[in-house]
Amino acid sequence: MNGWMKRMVRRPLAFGSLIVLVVLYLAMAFCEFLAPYDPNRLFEHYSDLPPNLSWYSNEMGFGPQVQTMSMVNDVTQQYARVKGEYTPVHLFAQGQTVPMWGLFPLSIHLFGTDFDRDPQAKAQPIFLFGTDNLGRDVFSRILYGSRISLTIGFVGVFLSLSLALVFGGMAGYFGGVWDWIIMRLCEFIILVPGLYLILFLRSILSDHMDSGQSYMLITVILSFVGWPGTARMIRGMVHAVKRQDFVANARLESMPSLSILFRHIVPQMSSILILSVTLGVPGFILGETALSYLGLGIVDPAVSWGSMINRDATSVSNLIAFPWLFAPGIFLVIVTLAFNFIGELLRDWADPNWKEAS
Amino acid sequence: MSDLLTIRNLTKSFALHAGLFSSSTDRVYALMGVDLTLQAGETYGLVGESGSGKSTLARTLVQLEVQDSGTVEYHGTDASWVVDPTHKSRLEAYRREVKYVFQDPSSSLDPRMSVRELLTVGSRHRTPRKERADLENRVMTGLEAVGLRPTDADRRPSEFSGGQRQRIALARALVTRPRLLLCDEVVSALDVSVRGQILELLLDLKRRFDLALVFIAHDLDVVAYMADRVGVFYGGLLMEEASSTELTARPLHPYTKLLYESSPGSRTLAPVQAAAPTTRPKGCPFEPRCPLAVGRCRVEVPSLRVVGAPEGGVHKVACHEVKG
Amino acid sequence: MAPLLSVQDLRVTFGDVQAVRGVSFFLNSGECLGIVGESGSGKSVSAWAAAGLLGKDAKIQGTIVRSPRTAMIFQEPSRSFDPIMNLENTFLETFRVQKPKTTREEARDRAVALLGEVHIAGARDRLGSFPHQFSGGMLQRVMIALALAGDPEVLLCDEPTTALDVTIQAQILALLKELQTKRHLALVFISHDLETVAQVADRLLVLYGGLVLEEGRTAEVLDHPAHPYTKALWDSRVRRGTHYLTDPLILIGGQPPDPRVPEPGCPFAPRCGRVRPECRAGIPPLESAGPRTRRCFFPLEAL
Repeated sequence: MNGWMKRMVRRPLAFGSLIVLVVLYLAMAFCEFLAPYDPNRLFEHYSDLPPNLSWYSNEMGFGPQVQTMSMVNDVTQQYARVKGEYTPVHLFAQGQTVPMWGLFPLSIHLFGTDFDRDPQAKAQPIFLFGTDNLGRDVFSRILYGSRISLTIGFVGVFLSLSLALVFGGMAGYFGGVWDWIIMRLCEFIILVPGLYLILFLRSILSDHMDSGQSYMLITVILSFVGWPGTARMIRGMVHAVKRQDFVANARLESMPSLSILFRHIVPQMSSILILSVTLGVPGFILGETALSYLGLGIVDPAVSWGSMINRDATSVSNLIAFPWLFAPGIFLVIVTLAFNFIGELLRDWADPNWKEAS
Repeated sequence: MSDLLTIRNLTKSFALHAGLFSSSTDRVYALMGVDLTLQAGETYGLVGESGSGKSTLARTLVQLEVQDSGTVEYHGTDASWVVDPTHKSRLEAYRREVKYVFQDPSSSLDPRMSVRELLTVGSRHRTPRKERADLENRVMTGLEAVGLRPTDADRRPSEFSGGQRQRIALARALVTRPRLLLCDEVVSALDVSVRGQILELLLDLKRRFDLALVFIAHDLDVVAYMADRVGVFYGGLLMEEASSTELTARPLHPYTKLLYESSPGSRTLAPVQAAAPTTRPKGCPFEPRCPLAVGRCRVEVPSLRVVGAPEGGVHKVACHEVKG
Repeated sequence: MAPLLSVQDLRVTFGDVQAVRGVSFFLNSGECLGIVGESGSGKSVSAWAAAGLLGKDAKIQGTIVRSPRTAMIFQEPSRSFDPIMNLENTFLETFRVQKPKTTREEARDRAVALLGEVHIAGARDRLGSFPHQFSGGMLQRVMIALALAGDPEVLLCDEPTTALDVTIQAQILALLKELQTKRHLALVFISHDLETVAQVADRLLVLYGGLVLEEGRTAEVLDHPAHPYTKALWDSRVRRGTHYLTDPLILIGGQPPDPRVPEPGCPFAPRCGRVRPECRAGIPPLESAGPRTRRCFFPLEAL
């Protein structure tokens, strides 16, 4: 493991990416705790509010606080800061009660104001990234939305890779008729332009589904479109590996064919597979984004980064007036880049024959 | 000594060109009707050059290739049976008793597995959980038998030299306690100074575990050294067979004589006409290069006949022009 | 007469791997020098350096003086030919390097003459054939013919028979010896097999771990080896007529050196039967007397 640590430190980009992803996935797991509010909660008087966090430093120390804003122009939804009016921000504050992981009620959040705890206190709610036009906290929505956006990648890649391994592996190992059938199937699917295939599949299915079903549906559709490319690559590699003497030896040891495929042949491709996963995940995330952007993906009340972009970040005038609404896009870029950088690092580690470029 | 393997009239040919547009007439005749009997506990040396069919013979014996015609009959301790690829459980049992060792240890060992895994992965799937501990013992005894250390069990092949990897390959072959090892050019890919070690190891393993060996190589002197009986292979046929000492003292077949004259062990050079060996089913395969060839040799395949019965064993030659 | 090929204190490094650590040899007109070594000995790298064929990733030090009429043949004949060019075009291409105006007719005539020298019968009819239609032995002969196209004084042979069957090997060796006499061609014959080299070489150079361990006339080196490695290598060969039941094998323990992890002292020390503490402390210097050279603190033969 020592060499592993050394390699990590030598690649600050990959190392940093790993940390970023770990933080994001942890945040995703604990989003009920980290987000101050329910993502669908409407704050009637606070729509299109810019981020309202500010700092103070006075004789008592320094810390975060929320500055009150009041509406200046209700046509353009512009706000101005009200001087002198602040609400203190507390850590581990008592706030809205939400079901943690859908199991038990939780009312303590990482940070918050007294907005919920004490209605008399005239406290302002805290919006780290502002609100959207319905007055929903963008920060909370990003956190809750990450549950869909960040996991869809893994679920999708898992499905896609499983299909690719099974079909590509069978085609490569058994050859003959199987090879022919599977390759023709792959070619057919690849021929159809991906986006149209996705739209087609989506459109033939019902519009009225709940968020859970539509999530799975999107994942299945994206996996179905994505597996043939990887399958062809896997088939080629299986072909090459199965000629090696150690595969012949495994046959002589009377290992069942599937055993040989998964214990001997597939591990030789582990670096390619890991690369496939790390590069595939952002692909799925972006795929979901694209679908939601087109209105065919996640719909309210479910929230994902893609659906957020679809709702709020599609017009330039919107973005100019309310730039904080682009926050989910920034997160998408960060996650995609992070997976790419880590992909390089993992490929380096997984392949014992890989010559490191020093 | 009892019979271990009886090989009868084995034939095998390969298509020369593969693919959609190949003609079925161009074939390579790797085995043209081979008859051979192996005895338990003996070393049978098989010498031949590339394309002679000696590797195809070895691979057919373990059914890595399936023969076109002919039978391989195995005589186990309790029963005898014909090796039949369709009879799965018999084939499995046979493959535990007869093991094939590959030439190049860099490609015959899965580079991603530890030595322990290499030795056990083949047996794991049919070992019940209770007997798994016994597998570990076998790994340790196997490593010790080939001259490696217990700590080597956790290392990967890339951490070993060529000679050590071949030791690992041999340890792997011994796990199922076979009765016969087919060693196909097992020292050819190794450095010269290391070859002796592996040859010595093979002899040691043979004594320790009462193994029969088929030792295949293209170097006649090495084969004659290692074997009790030697078979000379050319063009898919056994050309000569005799005990090792008899063959060295009295080589009779013109090809055997050519091999002796050509090999580096003779400090002389024998220039011979260059002729490419052809693939043909009719007549003696050595005819184009043979100094004794007559008309008959072109049309009639010589059969392996007994020409002498000295002490070491029967001397057989397949040649129209060699008399007993 | 000056040597046709002279290599002095050659050192070749790839990155931080020292493949050759100080090798010197020379080649006189009309003689055959045999270079013997195992993996890690640096024999091939030395030859390629002498021919000027090493790439930019090699750091080369030392002095190399060679005749401009130097040719080389290599180990795997099937890989040394462009598979889509037939023999005629291959020869034409080679001839045109030296004489750009060579016509096809001239090329054909010269090719047939050269192929005749290497004993390929019916050459004129075979000019239209492609490499894959020839056996390994034939291809090696064609390669030799191509090498002779430039009328060389020196022919470097890097393991030319290793990939060939033993009966074909004998033919190629005989051919090389014939060319040595007929054309007064100087040969450098590189191999890992001492017995093979012994058949063709007039002088022998033994390399190990990137260094020269012994040098001298072939018969002398083999009959009275000065270095324990030479003796061990020669003794470990399987002699004709020996059998496991009656004659023990003479072994060399250990394995050949890894150029990435060089020994501080004599490279053969870990495996030497006569090793003493001094052997591991420093590399023994090269000592020569006339044609004989050796690098050993405790040699078997006095100079």
